[in-house]
Amino acid sequence: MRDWRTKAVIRTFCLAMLAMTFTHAWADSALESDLAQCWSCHGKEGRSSDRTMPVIWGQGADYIMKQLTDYRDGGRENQIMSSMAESIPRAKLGEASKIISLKPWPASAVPTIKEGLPDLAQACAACHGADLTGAQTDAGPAPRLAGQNELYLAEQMHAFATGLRANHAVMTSIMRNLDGAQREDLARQLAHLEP
Amino acid sequence: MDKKIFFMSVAAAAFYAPSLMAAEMLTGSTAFGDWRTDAPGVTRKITATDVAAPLATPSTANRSKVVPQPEGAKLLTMEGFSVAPFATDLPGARVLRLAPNGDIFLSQSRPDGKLSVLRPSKDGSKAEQTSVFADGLKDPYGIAFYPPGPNPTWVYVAMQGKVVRYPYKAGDLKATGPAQTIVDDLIVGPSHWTRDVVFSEDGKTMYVAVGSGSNVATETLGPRPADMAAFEASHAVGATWGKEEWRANVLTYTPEGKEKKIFATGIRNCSGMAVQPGTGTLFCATNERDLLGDNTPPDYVTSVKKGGFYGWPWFYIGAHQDDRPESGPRPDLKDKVIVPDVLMQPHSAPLGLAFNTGSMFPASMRGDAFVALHGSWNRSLHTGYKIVRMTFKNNVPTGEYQDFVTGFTAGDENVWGRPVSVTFTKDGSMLFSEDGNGTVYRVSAKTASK
Repeated sequence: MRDWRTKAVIRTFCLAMLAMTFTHAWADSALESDLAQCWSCHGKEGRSSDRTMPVIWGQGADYIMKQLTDYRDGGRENQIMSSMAESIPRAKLGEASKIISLKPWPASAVPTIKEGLPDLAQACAACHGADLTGAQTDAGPAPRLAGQNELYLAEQMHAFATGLRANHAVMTSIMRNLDGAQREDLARQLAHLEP
Repeated sequence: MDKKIFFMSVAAAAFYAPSLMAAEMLTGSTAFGDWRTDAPGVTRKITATDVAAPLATPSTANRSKVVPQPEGAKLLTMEGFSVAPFATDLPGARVLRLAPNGDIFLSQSRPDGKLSVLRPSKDGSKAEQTSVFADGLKDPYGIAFYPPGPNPTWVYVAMQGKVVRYPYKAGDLKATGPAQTIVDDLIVGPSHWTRDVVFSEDGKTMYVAVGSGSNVATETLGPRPADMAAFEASHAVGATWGKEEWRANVLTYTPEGKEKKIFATGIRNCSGMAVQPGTGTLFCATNERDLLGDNTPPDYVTSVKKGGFYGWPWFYIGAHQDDRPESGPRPDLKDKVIVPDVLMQPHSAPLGLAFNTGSMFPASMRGDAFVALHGSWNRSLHTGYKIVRMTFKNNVPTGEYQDFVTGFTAGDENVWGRPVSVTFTKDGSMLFSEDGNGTVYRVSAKTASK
């Protein structure tokens, strides 16, 4: 029978191997495990305790693809994300986006309302889908908003309004028509929605 | 002395001496590490031969979460100094620069870009007045007064895309006239967005730092220039092209924004510059590349030589080759890479530096530079998030750096401050900004130096 030392060594070894699998740099194969780098910020269960980070599990594949491409090419700005997006070979961006989109949207972080859209959020439905879970539009893929993190939503809406985020002209003009308090109300409403 | 006790003492001394020495100066592999080994006074020296192989450890994304100052958490500094908030509630606090009359200028880059003036109280301990000098700016960062000396007539501000200047006279708390655009051809996006500006001591040269447009140019270069010799003649040796043209450089212009030239190449992201008083030597605080593991490659602060090539994207820290740039290797540049003066723990993210020329700090610290480390995201355990002191001998960096203010890390996930910029005030105390919670802190010596 193995003594505790042997067991400890084996356990440590297994954990180390596991850790390596989940943190090694982008390889040609095993894109799925490469994506584990994303979860260390976006949450290992799909939602980070840092609510300024967006939920990406279950987000639309086309939307994810556009954001990754924009991070690479400068359409959207974030130092960490531009490094991370640059590290995925361009030919694999589509596959990576698809894998992320097929993961389950995580349970809500806040109490949810199930019926009817609050006033402000109704306007979003025209592009983001009747239940605000995302849709295709003439102006490109619109992301899911329902159940997204409130702090992230507020930050992005503010960024559109101030020009800090400039990868969607329609969003810029819509957000400029709201004041700061309205944007925060809207973020709160959207975060509490569960379709 | 009893023989037995004597031998025990010798044995104890032999046993303890190495660890005591290690506590004073960490070198080689022991110099690398995370926040848990930080403490005021701990000194490190990293050399080019200490650099770990790429991916000797996995590359890990580990963004810090900024939290308010936790109950009981406090900043630590060296014996004989104290540190306390100077001004709070300054979102996006980035670059600090001292105006000759003693006012402190601060750029607040994001989310609402503006330039603020902090006026110290009589005893220097607090900002007793805060005024918005200019607002509505996009990513304002570097600040410089011109001409150098006691009576500048302009304050220059660098941002993505351009350098502008406002009319200025000593004591102004608001711009008295509109901005004039002096340089309008700086690159906008992608990736590194900070732009710093400083003047040479004689006021004839304006240095502008522009970081790279990517981590390591995996697809921003495009095809090589057909005639590399001609390209380098019109730019500089080691210059990058394609979307990286005029990036990862320190550029120079006249104060009127004319005669654009590349002063140095291969500097991935010189986030902060300072001119060494007396010698006029330019220094850069530089962030090296990501995704090569916990301890590769070191970030650095270095004197910058005119025409010097510092490696990016093809090399780092001397002739360590990086195979990721899409252009393929550049063996022709291998012998031209300058090894930077002071190598710092990889991923520390040095952003700003300032030289201590005042008389408040001890004489032994005069002429030293103090550097703000913004802190890591690409490391399994956080590192940086502190102010360090770079020591000099005969105006030349010793290669050593010492923890000066630590304590912003709260466990493995949270931090409550992200240092950005350092400046010395008229009374000789040091201010540093941090953009996590938007605070400017003051470090003062408890007793006047001899």
